[in-house]
Amino acid sequence: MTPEVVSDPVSRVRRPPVYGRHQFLGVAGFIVFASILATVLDSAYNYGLLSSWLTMSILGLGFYLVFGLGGQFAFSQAAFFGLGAYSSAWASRSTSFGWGLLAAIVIGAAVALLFSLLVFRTNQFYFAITTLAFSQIALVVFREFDAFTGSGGEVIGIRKPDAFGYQFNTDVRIVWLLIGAVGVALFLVAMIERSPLRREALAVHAQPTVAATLGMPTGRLRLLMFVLGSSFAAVAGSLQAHRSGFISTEGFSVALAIDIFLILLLGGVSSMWGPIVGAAFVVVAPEKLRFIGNYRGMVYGILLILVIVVFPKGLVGLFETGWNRIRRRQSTDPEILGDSSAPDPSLEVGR
Amino acid sequence: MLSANGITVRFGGVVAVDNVSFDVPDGTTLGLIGPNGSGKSTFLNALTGVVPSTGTASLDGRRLPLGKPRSTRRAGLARTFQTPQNFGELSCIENVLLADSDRRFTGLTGAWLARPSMWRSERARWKRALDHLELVGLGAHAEQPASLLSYGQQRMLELARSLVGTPSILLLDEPSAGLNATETAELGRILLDVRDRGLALLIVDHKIDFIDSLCDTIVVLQLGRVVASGAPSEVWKDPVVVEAYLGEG
Repeated sequence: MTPEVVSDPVSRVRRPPVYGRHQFLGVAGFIVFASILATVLDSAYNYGLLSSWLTMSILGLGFYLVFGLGGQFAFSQAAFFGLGAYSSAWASRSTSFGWGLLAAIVIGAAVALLFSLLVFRTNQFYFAITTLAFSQIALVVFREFDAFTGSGGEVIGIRKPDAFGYQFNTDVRIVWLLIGAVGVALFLVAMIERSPLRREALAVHAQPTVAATLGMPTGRLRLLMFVLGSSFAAVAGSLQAHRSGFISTEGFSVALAIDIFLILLLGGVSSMWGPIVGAAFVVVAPEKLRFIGNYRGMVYGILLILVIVVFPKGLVGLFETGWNRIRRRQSTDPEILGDSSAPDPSLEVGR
Repeated sequence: MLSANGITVRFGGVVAVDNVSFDVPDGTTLGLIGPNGSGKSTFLNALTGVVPSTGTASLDGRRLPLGKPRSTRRAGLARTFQTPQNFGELSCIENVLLADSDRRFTGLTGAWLARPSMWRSERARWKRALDHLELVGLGAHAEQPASLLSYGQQRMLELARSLVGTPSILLLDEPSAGLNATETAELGRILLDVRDRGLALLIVDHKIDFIDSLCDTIVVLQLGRVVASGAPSEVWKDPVVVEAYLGEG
């Protein structure tokens, strides 16, 4: 410990460290980076990859709220992705993309709320099983409920997105729309990160009984994070439906639910940037391994295991560890500090 | 004043706490002692709603909803645990902030729609949290993750967290366990200080000197039942207590 540093009244902490971080700058940085990509890339194939990454990022951000902050092990994210897609396609048939998106949010949130209330008393493993069952039921409904979803769960000719008379009817225009959507999603999550809600959700996630003895509404917080995260998935579904113009039940199976888990595990469960990085890996890595041919699945699997074993905190955790090492090296360099008043590295908050 | 009446806890066929009743007036300290397994911690768990129980309890004349930890805390009953139960991933100040009784704008409204109001409430909460961290000597560690604190500091952090919501009574489950003599003395000083400000204390502990130095009344449990109660000087002379602690002969 270095009391010289921490007892200095000027450097005294007046707010929790989470408020001292620059999440909003990070959001701006993301928008700049994605915009550069949108400008530099020029083929339909690359625009497709970029769009998939951005859509999966929104899905992953939703799952970060459900699992990363809320601690709820849910397989239902893919089902809400599908619900958003079908709701939006249905509601926009005779209206517009905007009404479709709104319908996706409202229906997604309402179904998530009802489901959450229904399984309110389940938790952990049992909750996970109920979400798996929900996903299976949703697939059957998508396939059989023709009036809502189309014959056999297939909907074609979904209108392209539009806003205020502007048509997002080309690949590059849709990429810009998706960059905006991910920017808004990141901004909303950043506002949660920079608010008491983050610490409350993490506390309920870590020790619900202790959190209750502190007066926290544990059930309400779990429910809120589930509904919020599921609504993000519904928005991603709406964007996916209007981007591709076609949806079928194959796109919302448990395989997608597992991909969403991978996004968070690979990117990092404990950071809002985890889903962004994880989505890039899940979308890009299989494509870049195409040259291997028949062994692609095997190599991808090995790569996943390696990343999870070597970087248990995800790829974002790797960046943070590297950054902390650089800071530590600088802070303990006698030529930089000139004396022993270097801040104790243990005081760093590694998030 | 806390009044517990006929508190009983059953685990299947086992009666862990059997019809326990006593009062803890404001500004006083009651020590709850007894051999291992006598039901002391279970009694605290029952009062704070962590385990199901029967009986009634009231705080300042208002009935406590047993079995509902959140309602119990909001009614003014705070506690610490046998082993410190802090949130290691959060900073020390965030741990204390969690327990503040002012919960305005801590939800989605504060995060998304009413940020200026949220900031105002947060600033007031930060100040209170820092004041309480300083009270227990952890002001310098405010932004440090709780997981990096020593065991003694973890206990102090939990104490700060339990005091921040201005409770009417504080239940402490073996607060001196794992503390050295200096830390125990410091803990005793802080507890006497908050008691003198009118807070009622209910302390479960095994350190006799610590209990003697703090408590106005001692209640002795054995196999879930009250076997003795009164001023410390009377209780230690009670043959039942002597037998319970030292054994026959």
